[in-house]
Amino acid sequence: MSSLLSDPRIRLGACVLAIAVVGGLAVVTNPKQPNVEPQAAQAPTRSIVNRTALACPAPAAGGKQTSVVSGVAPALPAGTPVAKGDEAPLSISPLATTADPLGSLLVRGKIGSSPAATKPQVLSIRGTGPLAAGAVGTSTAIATSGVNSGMASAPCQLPGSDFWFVGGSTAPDRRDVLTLTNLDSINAAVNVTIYSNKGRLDVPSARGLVIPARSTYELFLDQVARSQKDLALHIVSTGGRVAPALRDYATKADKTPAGVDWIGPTIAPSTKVFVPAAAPGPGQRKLVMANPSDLQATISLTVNGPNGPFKPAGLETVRLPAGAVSTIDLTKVLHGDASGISLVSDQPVTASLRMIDKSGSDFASISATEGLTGPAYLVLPAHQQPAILQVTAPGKASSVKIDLRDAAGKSLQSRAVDVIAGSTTQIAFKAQSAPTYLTVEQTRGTVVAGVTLMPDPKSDDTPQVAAWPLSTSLVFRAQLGAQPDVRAALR
Amino acid sequence: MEQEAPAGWEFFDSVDFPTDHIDDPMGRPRVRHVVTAVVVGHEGAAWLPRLSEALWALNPRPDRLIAVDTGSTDETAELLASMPGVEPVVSVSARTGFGTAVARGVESVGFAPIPSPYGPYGDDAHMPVVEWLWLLHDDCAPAPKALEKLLLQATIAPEVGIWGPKLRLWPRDRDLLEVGVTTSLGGRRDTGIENGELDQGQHDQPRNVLAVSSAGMLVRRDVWETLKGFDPRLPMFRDDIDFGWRASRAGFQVGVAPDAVVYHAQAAATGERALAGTRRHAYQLDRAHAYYTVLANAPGKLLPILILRFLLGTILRSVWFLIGKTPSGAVDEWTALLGTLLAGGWTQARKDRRNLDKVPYDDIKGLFSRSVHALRHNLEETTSTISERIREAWADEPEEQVVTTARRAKSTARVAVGQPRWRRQLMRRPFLVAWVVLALGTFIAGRSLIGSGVLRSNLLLPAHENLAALWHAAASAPTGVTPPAWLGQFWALSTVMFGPSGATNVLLIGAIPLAALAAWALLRAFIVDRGARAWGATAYGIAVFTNGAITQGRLGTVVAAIVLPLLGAAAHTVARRRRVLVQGSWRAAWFAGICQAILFAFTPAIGLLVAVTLAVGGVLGLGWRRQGRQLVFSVVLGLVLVLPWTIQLVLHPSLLGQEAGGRPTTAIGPGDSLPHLLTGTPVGGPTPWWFAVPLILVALVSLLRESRQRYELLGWFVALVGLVGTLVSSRLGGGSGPLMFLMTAGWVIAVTVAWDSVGKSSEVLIQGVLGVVLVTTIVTAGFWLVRGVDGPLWRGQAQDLPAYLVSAQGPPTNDSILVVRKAPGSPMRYSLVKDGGPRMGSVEAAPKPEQVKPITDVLSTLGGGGSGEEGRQLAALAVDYVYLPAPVDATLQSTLDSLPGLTRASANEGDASWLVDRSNGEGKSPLGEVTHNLWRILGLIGWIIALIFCLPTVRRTVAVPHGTHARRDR
Repeated sequence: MSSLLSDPRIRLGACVLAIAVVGGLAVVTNPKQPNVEPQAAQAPTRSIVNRTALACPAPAAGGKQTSVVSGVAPALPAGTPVAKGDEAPLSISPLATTADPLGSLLVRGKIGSSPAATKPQVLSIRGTGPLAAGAVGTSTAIATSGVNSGMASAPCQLPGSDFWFVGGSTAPDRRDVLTLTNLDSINAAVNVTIYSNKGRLDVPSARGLVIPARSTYELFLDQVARSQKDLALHIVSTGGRVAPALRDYATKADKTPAGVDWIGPTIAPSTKVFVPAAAPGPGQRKLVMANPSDLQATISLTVNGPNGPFKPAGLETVRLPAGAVSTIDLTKVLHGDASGISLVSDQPVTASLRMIDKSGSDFASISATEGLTGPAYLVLPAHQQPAILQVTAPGKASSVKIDLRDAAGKSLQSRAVDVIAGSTTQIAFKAQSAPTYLTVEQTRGTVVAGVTLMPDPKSDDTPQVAAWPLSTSLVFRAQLGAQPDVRAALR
Repeated sequence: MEQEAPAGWEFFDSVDFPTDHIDDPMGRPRVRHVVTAVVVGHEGAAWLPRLSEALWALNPRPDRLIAVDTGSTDETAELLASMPGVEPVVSVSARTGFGTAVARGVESVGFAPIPSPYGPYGDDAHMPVVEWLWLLHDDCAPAPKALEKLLLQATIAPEVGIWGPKLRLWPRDRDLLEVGVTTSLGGRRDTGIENGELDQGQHDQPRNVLAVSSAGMLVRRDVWETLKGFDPRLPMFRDDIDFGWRASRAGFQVGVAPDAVVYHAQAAATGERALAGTRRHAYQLDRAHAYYTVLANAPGKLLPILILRFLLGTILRSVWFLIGKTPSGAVDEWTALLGTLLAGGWTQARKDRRNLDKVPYDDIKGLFSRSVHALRHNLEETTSTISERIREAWADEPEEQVVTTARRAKSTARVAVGQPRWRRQLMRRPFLVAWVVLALGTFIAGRSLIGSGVLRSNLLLPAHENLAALWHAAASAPTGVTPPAWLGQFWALSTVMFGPSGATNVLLIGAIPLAALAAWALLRAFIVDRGARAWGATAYGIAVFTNGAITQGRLGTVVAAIVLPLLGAAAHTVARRRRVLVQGSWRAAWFAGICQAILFAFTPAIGLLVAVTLAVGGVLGLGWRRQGRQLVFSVVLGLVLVLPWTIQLVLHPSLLGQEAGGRPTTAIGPGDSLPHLLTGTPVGGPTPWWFAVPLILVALVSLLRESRQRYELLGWFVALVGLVGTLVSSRLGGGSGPLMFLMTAGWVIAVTVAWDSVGKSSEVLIQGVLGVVLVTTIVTAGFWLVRGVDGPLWRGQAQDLPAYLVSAQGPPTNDSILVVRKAPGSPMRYSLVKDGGPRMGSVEAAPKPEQVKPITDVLSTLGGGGSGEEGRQLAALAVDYVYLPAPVDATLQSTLDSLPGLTRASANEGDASWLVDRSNGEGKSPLGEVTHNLWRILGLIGWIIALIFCLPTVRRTVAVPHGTHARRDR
């Protein structure tokens, strides 16, 4: 060995060969990703949703109206962890602890409803146990005449502590009421910050609102911010949770009612905002944007139409002053097509879209949503026109699985849909005389989705306009669980 | 028969040549001195001719010369008999002590007769007569005028009963030995002379002292007879002090006459003649006599304090001897003290001396040396002993030293001739210059890392607050978890490095100079060229930076970089072939074992590679002989010293892919990148990978040389081992930061050896290649200076919680805070913060998932909306606060807001915090800790033993009094 190594050529060759062999082995083998997670992460725990409480808003009494709340504990994909134990039913009940339930969700997959009521009241869907996972509900009120004419429908809201609303107004033709529902057994304290088209308003009377346990509080916006064309609200609870909803009454110029609906909560301001589901058909489409930051926002607008994305001429870039809320009319741009709208801004902004039917006698509003990362569930009330599901892929080509089931859990329509990059695909659901529930599961790419209801303009019934956004069920957001990690205590 | 003066007596200075009369310059009346001199000889043939010469030259001579021979086997008796005017030699047994021998000689021959005052030279009895006894050793030689000067002083100061000369060393006659002697009450003999002090007349004042040495001591006859000579219980050591002390007590003064010079060969003290006269250890005898002298003479009221002091000193000294691996020294200490105290001889001596007390102790107090001096002296002696032993330990073997010195002389010859001295010195010490540059560069490169706060990075948790916390953490861990071994070692370092935080600073910020210094210590062993050595050490230091160990805060690699060269030096000491009979070194083997224990603890992968290499290489290369066995022993020692950790390494081999800092360090490595793997630069390191390419190329080229291939192949072996280790580790999902450092270190060694061999060459090609190496190093160093502060290492607070929560963790509340972090799309990560939060080693000693399952369950339920019971459950788990650092997950925040039993508390900007209501009864924290006291004690004992064995041996040094008359043991 040593005699071999005494030859310099052999020495050099041996070292080069050794390096080459190691290099060759490195090329043909793949490094194993080091596991830097804490030891406990080897067996992750998963959160199990075993309690739910949803607040289902109700319009004020008035006119001849029927109000119903439908809820379902949907069929979950196989393998979803659910709480152990008996399937205790979820109840649909008024807020008071002593109130009797009006309806109940007994079995997973079957829709339960409250009896149709003419005097609407705020209801809750609540319960503990295996059925809580994924439970959703929708509150719907229909009136053919009067101040509540048209359809006002919104998904029941999960209480929280931080909400944004865009698209309120205290203009003469509008009357907006913020309802704050506290389902918990402790009082909640809420601060409401209001932004208008002139910037952030100083509204001391909207701060420090106390919502007693198990009750509803109504804040009439024209009492705190009179004659503001566009408003954005930021609701923060400093203690306790609330489920807010923004009820919006519109009147025509001749003071006749122009419908009522709920403006849904929108996502927290972000530099990339996606507004799904601009309803197809005639009528006005208005995009309301809010910039709560301290700097002017430059927003580039992209419409994700059925045939792909385009930048609307003249509206490629919109400037929004600091703290301001503003509206742009997209009626001509959207051209009555089913579309999604993508906003990319240099400052965090948020937005919602207001859709008014051709006759101007009912409207609906859909707010920006987060992309779907798992199954989303939605209860659709009985509807007389086809409801349109619009799935927008703002980024790459994506695909979703759709499953529509009737009240008994029987599948009515089930298919997989591919969405071309940047475009919006629409799927129509036939008119239904009973509530149905829809499952939309994202399987590839990023999608945003919503369901809209636009009346047939030829019909002479009272038009019923509604829009429901789809968002990932809590079950699939919460199931990541917890793991001990010493370093979590440090930045 | 008149004897002739032998030739050579001009040995003495002519200024000391005799003059005629002993006249008092003050004009006091003359005194007739009658001197009887006694010479005691024992095996003194080597020195007696000189004494004869001196006596010949002496003027005036003593009136009678008595010679006593204590059983010598050589021609001492004949030489004694040939001294000028000597009486017949008195022979006594070899066991006779000096004092007894003198007494026997005087008894058998008698004092010199007083000459008749009448007659031609008589003074008709006008002059008073004083009789003297003059004691001489066989290895001393009085200067010609010694007796004259002594008698002159005796004339001037007739009240002094004992006179002593100034003792100077015989061969180098300027060295001062003694000008009077005293003792501290602790028993230390104190001459007041520094070791090696030259006689420049600085002590030339006649003065009163406590005692004088028996060599050249001039005693008045009445004093001698009153005190009954020397104490027979003190055959040697302290007999002179005891005699002087007794004289002082009895009211006779003791004086020193520095004009009188006696040269003394110190035959016993220099070891030319064996100490004898007793069967006991000289050291024990010295201590025992010291105690005896003090106990017999000290005033009674001081005795309890003195005995206490002896005990304390004995304890301290025996600890010192135990540490110094000389347990027999400790035995000597205790037998000397107990033997003296219990034997009771001193009580009898006290009784005997009671009747001579004429002077109270307070009057002679000033003659004793103060204890402070003794303490200072002890300290000096200890430090000098330590430094001497360390020098010995590091010194090469004598045979090799010659070679090394010659080589060094060769390498330093003709450097910068004609330059100013300081520049020449600098050019001769290139490493000193390089090291100073590195040390200054450390401050530049670490400019933002110096200040208040603690060093942190994603791989380095904050250091513990204080030594006590680290001491606790080093052996405490949740049930079933073994605390990492490196914490204990880090504690030991922290005790000498200003606490855990200081140790972190020194290790991380000072890593480059420290590593360079360690590398230099290794390279000194086999690199001759100073330039090559300086370059090698510098490049090795900078390799710590290019590895990213500093910027990422990887303590393990930094420690390994400092320890590896030391281990290399120790292994080199064990393994090299020497031209001496005994191969290898056990002390180096112990040290190598300690180094390996550190490597096992901080970087287990390197520890394993080194252990396998040393064990296999030792047995195959050196055989199962002394050296091979020593190497195997060092490996076993390393494994034993980190013991509970060794078991962990065997049970969980994945720990080999980590270093100090735990699982997060497995992310360090070459990743998918082939160039990073082959150049030994971790992905995410501070320098690009191609910085290492010139080094590798030069290391390859240097293989083409012919000479000194052994060390160069060793360097390549190290590099290839590191390369293969990196490949294996990265393919198994482990980290390889330290292994990649090993690669760079190997190439640095290879290039340094090559430089050493060809550095003197003037060939353009070689100079060019060396230039490339130098430029690469300088560029990398510049990179280090500029970009040294980049990277994840930063300095900041030890915790990121608000101040009130930090202080709430301490007493009296001892709150625990549940910090929950939730990023979108990932599970919650949480940590229960108490007792100062996560600190070094917390990742390795994290509780097992089963133990924190209660918290995990509560949080999982909260993530799903909660059941409303979590507030109570958290209180039952003794959680006082829940803290959500920014960015706060809105869903979780709202869930916590609605939870009964939780109240919002103040938090930092963007964070959220809740106070848990714990008013309903006591909670119990799920985190239990077990302190491994048994392992800790065993580990401490093991480390102390190992450290003692690699320290040099302490020797018993007997402060042999210069005048001690030696005896041989028969």
